[in-house]
Amino acid sequence: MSLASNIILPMLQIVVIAGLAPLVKGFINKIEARLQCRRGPSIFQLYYNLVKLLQKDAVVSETASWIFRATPYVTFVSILIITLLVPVLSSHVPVNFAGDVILIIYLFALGRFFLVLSSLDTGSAFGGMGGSREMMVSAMAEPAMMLSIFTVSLAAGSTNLGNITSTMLNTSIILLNPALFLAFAALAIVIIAETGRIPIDNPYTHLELTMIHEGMILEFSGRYFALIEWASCMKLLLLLTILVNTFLPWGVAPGLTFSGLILSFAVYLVKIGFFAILIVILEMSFAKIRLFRIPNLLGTAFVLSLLAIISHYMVS
Amino acid sequence: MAHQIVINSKTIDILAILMLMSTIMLVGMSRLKNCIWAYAFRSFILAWVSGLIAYFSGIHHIYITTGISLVLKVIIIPGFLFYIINKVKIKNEVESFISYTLSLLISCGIILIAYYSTQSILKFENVFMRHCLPVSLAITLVGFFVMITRKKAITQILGLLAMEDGLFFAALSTSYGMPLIVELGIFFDILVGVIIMGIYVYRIKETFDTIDTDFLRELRE
Repeated sequence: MSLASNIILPMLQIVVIAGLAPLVKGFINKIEARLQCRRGPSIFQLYYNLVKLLQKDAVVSETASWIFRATPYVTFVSILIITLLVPVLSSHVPVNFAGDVILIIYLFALGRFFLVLSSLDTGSAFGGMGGSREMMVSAMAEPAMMLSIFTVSLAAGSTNLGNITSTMLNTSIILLNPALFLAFAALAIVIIAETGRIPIDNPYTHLELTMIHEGMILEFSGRYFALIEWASCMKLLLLLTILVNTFLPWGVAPGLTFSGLILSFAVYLVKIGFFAILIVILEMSFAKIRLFRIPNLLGTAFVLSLLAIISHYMVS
Repeated sequence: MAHQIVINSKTIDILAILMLMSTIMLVGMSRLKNCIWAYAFRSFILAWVSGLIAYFSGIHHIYITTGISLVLKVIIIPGFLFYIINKVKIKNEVESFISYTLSLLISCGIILIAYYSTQSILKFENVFMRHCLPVSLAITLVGFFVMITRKKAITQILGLLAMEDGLFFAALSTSYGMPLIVELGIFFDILVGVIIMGIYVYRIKETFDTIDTDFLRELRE
């Protein structure tokens, strides 16, 4: 049991998240292409890209300092640590002792902070623009994310994601808590903003004045770029996992049995696939909103999460 | 049986929260058509709630109000508003005296006041459907707020409709609705009111070449 929980579970989680992340993004791209009557790249295209990029050497600007070289590793490792803090297949979390959901929020912030620093580091005009926009979006998205996760924590009585998942699994009536609906809606908007999907940012363009995330990583190449791309894929999958496993934890294995993990993996794939298709439908039906309209959308998310936490306090 | 009641009241609470969300959408949306869709969505949820309440309470005349509100508020009034928008060919953008973010925050404050002020009543009420009274008060007040701050006549109509929804929901959730004849009267009031206001919107557009109600203060020959 201790061997299983100490060694096998962390490795399993890293393999699942890091291995599946490019597939999920490739799946989203493929479905979206099919819906637009294009053939689209293969589902596995992002794996080919990663392998190709990892074999290439990186070109670094002469003015860049050590921050530029450290950034890909900091971003990637912070995402990897989050992988170990989130319940993926089992409600048991590998590094339960190290931290809770607050640490997760700060680790996301750490990776983003270094990305923004590195975008300023090379002195490219696009980089600084992308960085300042990313900061503007995240400054408004972060409070909404915190408040909506705290609502779940209050309802479950713990800030530890593993405990939240197991509490939600055991007491099904808590799922009918109306405050959690508001928190769910707020977190869904925040996830769209944090991962730079279409109403906020366009992930498919590189040369447009409206880009946010792509503008920041324009200077990276070769293996550095591979690490950053991989980290952003994993961020999308991790945020979806947090959404799915805290609000809809059905099918997550409470223990560590082999059959339980297999069943949990199958249910997990179905849930992630469902939300990926939801993202595709959202991207198909909305145009990218103007930059100065973004506070409007994120303000809605903030108001929803604030109402979630207040109505939970006032009514229950 | 007790478990059944808990599930029912939880379901109605969740629907109430969905109505609250659609009201926030009315404040936060910047497109007129999306606001009308939000209104249709909220009316649909309201009809659903009244159907559920009719089913649980066993009072038959609520079924009639459910049916009428489904036809009137989900189909006819939104359809009529879309018709007006297409007819007067206005810019599909909501204009407000204060910025979106500020009006979102103010309506958030209004909702908090609604929750806070109904606290003392809810202590003596039954423990079920605890979100209904605060949410209905919140929808009424936010509708009032939208009526005050929006510039265009169409959005002011939407605010009035939100107020009516809130009052209907309050009556429904606290005392299983008003007597049938009163309900029918209110429905026809709303229908005739919306149609008259729609005609007014058209006339304002004809006369002033805009439906911004600010220009109504200007004197013309």
